[in-house]
Amino acid sequence: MNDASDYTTHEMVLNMGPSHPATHGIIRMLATLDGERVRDVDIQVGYLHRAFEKMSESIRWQQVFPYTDRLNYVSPLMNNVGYAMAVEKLLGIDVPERTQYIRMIACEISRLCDHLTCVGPGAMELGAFTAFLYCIEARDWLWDLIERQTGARVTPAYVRIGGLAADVDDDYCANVGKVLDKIQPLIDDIDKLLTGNQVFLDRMKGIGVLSAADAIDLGLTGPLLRAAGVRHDLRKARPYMFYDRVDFDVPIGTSGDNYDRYLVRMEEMRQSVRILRQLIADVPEGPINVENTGIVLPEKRDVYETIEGAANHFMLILDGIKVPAGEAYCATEAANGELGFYVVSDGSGRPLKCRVRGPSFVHMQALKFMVMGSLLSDVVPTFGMLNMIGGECDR
Amino acid sequence: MTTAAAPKEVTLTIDERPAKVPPGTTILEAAKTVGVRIPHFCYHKCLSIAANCRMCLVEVEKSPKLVPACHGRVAEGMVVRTTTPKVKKAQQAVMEFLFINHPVDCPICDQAGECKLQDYFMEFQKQLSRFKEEKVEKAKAQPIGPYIVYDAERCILCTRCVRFMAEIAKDPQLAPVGRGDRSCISTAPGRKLDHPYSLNTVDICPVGALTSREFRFKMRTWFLSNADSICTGCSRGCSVVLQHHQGTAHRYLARENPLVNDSWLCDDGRLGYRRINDHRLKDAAERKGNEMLTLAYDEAVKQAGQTLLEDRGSIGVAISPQVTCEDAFALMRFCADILGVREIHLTGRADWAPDNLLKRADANPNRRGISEIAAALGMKVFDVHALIKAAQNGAFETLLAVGADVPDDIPEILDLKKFETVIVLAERTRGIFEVGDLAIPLAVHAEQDGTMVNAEGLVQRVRPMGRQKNRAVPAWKALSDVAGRMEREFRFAGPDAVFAALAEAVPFFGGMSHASIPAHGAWGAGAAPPERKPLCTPR
Amino acid sequence: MKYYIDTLKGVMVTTRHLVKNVLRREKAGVVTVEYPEKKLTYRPNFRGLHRLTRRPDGTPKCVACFMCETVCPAYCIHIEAEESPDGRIEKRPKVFVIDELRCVVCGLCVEACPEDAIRMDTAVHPPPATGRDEFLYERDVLMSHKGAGPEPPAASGGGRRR
Repeated sequence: MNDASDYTTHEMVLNMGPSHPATHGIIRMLATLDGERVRDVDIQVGYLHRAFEKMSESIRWQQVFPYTDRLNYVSPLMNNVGYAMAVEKLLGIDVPERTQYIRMIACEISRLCDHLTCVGPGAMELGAFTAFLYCIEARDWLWDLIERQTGARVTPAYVRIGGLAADVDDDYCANVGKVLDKIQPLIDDIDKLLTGNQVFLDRMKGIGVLSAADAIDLGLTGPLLRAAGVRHDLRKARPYMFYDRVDFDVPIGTSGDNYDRYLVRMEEMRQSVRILRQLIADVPEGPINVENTGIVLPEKRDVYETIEGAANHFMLILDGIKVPAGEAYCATEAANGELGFYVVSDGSGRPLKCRVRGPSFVHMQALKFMVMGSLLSDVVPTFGMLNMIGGECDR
Repeated sequence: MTTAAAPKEVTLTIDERPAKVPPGTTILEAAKTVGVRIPHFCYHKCLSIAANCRMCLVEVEKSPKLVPACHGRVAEGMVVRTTTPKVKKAQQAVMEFLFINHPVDCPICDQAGECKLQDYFMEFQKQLSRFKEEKVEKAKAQPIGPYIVYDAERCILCTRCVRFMAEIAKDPQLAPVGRGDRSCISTAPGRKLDHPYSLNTVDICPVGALTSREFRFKMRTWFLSNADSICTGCSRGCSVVLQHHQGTAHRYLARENPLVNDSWLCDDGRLGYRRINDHRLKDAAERKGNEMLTLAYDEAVKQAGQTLLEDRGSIGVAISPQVTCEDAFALMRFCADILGVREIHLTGRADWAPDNLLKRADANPNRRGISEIAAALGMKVFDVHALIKAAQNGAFETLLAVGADVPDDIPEILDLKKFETVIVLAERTRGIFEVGDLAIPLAVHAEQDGTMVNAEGLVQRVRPMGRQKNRAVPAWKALSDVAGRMEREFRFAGPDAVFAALAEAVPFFGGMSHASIPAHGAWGAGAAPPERKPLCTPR
Repeated sequence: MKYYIDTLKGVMVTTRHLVKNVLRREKAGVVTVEYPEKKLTYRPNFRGLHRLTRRPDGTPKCVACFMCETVCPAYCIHIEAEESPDGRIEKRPKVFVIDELRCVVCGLCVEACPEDAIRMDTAVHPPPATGRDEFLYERDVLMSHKGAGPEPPAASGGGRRR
C-alpha cells in the first residue's frame, strides 16, 4: 500500500478516550499515528479514581466491604474475599471449612462473570454482537444466582471478616448446578461463533504480541501472563482456601497474542465450571463464622435478647474490629491476575492503610508495548483482551 | 531491734515486671507505675476503697485466694500476676454476674461508647450469655435531681457516687438501699440529688445508671472529638476536656489535674459549655437604627480602622477577663503602639457566690493573666465603674471593647451607649453588643489556640474545636486586620507567634512557649504553687 | 472461501437459538417481563428501598441508637433522638432522614440495627424524582413503606422494651 515515503507526512496524535465507543473502561489513550500505524501511545489512567485507599483509612474494617465491591466491579465477590483474607491473615484466624467452600464458589462464579465480560465486549468491539449478547445472557443467570444469595447483583458485599454475611440456602448448590448446566452449552456456542471464525482470527491472531520474558518484566499476571506461555497461577503455585483439593487445569498459551488471551479465557471459563461442579458436590456442613466475639457480630437473637449480645454488637460497630498492629499482604488469583491487598493496622478499629494491588493497573503499562507498530484498529481488540477494569485500575 | 532505717520503698514483681513503690501503696496503683492496667469498677483514686466490684482480683503468690488489687497493699518481694487463667476466670465470672440483671439497654443508654461494662466485655468476658431466666425489674429513668437521671436496673452498686457525695462533696445525699439483687441507690425520701457538684457522679459512674439530663440523648459519645481546655466559669481554671462535634460543643468532662481540680468540676462550670454555642455572634454587624444588621467582615474591619484613625486621642478601651492572654496581649499592644492609649478598663461577668470546694467568687477565667500583661506593658487598669463614669462624662468618644460580657447586676451599664461609637469584638449578642455600633465576631476559648492564667498563677492552654459554626476570629487576628486598614503593620504569624511575643514582653510568662506548657499547666514566674490539699479522700 | 463457511457455521448456531427462542420460549427463558405491570418477585433478602418497622401499636421500633448512622459507609443516614412518651421505651427518633441518592444499598444498616427497626425488604427501588431533596426520605415516609413478603419473626429490644 501507500508508503509514507511518497509524501510529506506528519505524525498525528489521536485522542481515544476517556469515553470511547470501542473501549470499555475509562481510559485515555493518546496515540501518535503515522498513517494507520501506531508509533507511540500515551496511556492516561485515573479517570475512575475514587480514593478507595484514602477512604479506607477513615472507616472501620467492616465498612470497607461495600468499597471493595466497587474495585473490580465485574467480579466483586473476589474483591470481598481478597480483602477479608488479608485482614484475617493479620488477625491470625482461620475461617471454617464451609465458609472457605462458599467463598471459593463465589470466587469462581465471579471469575466466570469477569471472563464473560471480557470476551463479550471484546467480541462486540470487533462487531460480533451476538456473541456479546450470549455472554450477557450467561452473566445474567450468574447475577440472578448472586442476587438470590446476597441480595444484590453487582454490589453484593457478601463476605465479612471471619466469615460471611449470611449462610447460603439449602438449594444453593443445586441452583448453581442448574445454572452451570445452562452456561456450559452457551460457552460452547460462543466458542462456535468465534474461535474458528476467520474474521475473528484475522483481527486477533498475531496481534498485540507480548513475549513471555516481556510479560514477566512488565509484571503481568493472570490470563495475560499465561497466554504468553508462563505457567503461573496462584491457585496452583500458592494454593489458598481449598484450591489444592479440587482438580482443574490451567490453560497456557503459546504466542502471547490476543487470540491466545481469548482462548485462555475461554478455557478458564470451562475450568471454572469444572471447579464449581466439584465444589458444589462437596460443601460441608458447619458454622459460617469463626467463633470470636472480637471479630464476628453476634447472632441477632442474642443482640435482641441478651445484654452481652447487645454490648458485643455495639462495641464491634462503634469501635470496629480491633485488629492487632502489624501488616499483611494477601494475594489471590483474581480473574485478571494477582489481586493483592496489603493492609496495615495500628491496633485500632480502622485500617491504617489498605493498599490494593490491582492487576489492571499493572497491565496498563504493557499496553504500549503490545500496540507499538500495529495498526490503529488493532488497539481495540488488544485493549479489549487486556480487560482493564477501571475500578481495579484506578481504585 | 534493728537500727537500720525502715525501707523507703517496697520492691515487688507485677507480671514479671519489677516495681518500686512507697510502702502502703495498693497493688493496683503499683501496677499502674509499671504499665499494667488492672480492670476495676468501684475503685477511684480520689475516693475511699470499697472493693465491692471484685473486678480487680489478682493472683498473689502464696495467697490461697485471689486478692483485690485496689485494697491489697504491697509487700516486699510480693509476686503479683494479673493474666493467669485463675484471674481470667474470675474476671469472666464477675462480668457474667454483673450482666445477669443488667437490662438490654445499650441502644437507649447514653453511656454506650464510654461504658466500662461494654469495654470490659470485649477485653475480658468474650462469651455470650448463659442466663435463661427473667431479669429483676427496677425503677428506670428516675430524675433524682435537677441534673441527674438514675436508672436502677443499670446500676452495679459500685457506690462511687455514694462515696463521692459523702467524702468529697461532704453532703451524703445518696445511699444504697434495699438488699440482695433488689438494692439500688437512692436519695433520702423527699430529698433530691441537688448538690452543686452533683454532675460529678455522672462523670464517675462507670455505667449508665447516673446520666446527665442536660446531655440526655443529644449525641452519641463516639461521634465526639476531644479538645483539652479550661472551664471559663470562674478564676479557678479547672481543667476540662471539651467534647464537640462539627463545631458544636456538647459537654465538658473533668480533666484530671492535680494542680487545680483533681477529677472534679462544679455543675455551673461544667454546664458553662453552653456559652460556646449560645447567642453567638456569627458575622460582623453594624447598627442601623435599633437593629444590628449583618456586615461583611472586610467592611467591618475597614470601618473600625477608619473610626479609630479619626478619633485618635479620644478612644477608651475595655477588655473582658474572659478573653485569652493572646487576645489581651494583642489588644494592649494595639492600644500602646497604634492608638497611643495606656489605660484599659476591665469588664467581664459579675462575681458569684464561691464555695469551699472549687468555685471562686470571680466568675472570669483570665483576670490574673490580663493583670500580669497590663503590668508588664505599663497599662493602667480601671474597673467597669470607671468605664461607666467615662461614658457618662463623655471622657472618650469611641469605645473599643474586646469581649462582650459585662456584669448583669449594674443597671447603669446601659449608659455605655453614651459613647459616640462603640466598636466591640463580641463573642455573643449580649452585653456590650447591645449598645454596640459596630461588632466583629470574636472567637471564644474553644475556637482558639490560646492560654489563660487562673487566680493562683497557673498558665494553662486552651485548644480549639477545629470547626466553627460562625465566622468568629481571635482578637489578635481581627486587630491585625484593623491595623492593616489603618496602614499600620501589626501582624502575627499565628497563635504560637502571639504567645512568643507575649512571653518575651511579659516576665510572668518568661521562657514559656505554647509547646513548653505541659498538660497540667505551668506556673508563671513568681507564682508560688499554693499549699493545696487534693480533693481526695485521704488514705 | 473459508469466510463463507465460517459465516455459515455461525448462522447455524444463531438459527438454532432462534428456533428454540421462537418455538420453546419458556424453556429458552426469553420471556420479557412486562414491567411495570408485571414485576419479578424478589427474595426477602433483596436490598431495595429502606423502611422503618413498627411495633404492634404503630410506633416506630427505632430507638435512635445511631448504629445505622455509625456503620453506613456512605454517610447517608441522619438521626436526632428525643425522649419517648412511652416510659418503657425511653428513646425514639425525632428526625430520621436517609438520603437515598447517597445510599450504596449495601445493607450494613440492616445488619447493624439492634432493634430490627430498619429493613430493606420493600422490594422496590427509589422512584425517580426531579430534585435531589426529593431523595431525602424522612421518618414518616420511611415508616409508611411496606415490607414485601412474610414478616420475619417479631424480635425487638430486650427486656421491658419488648
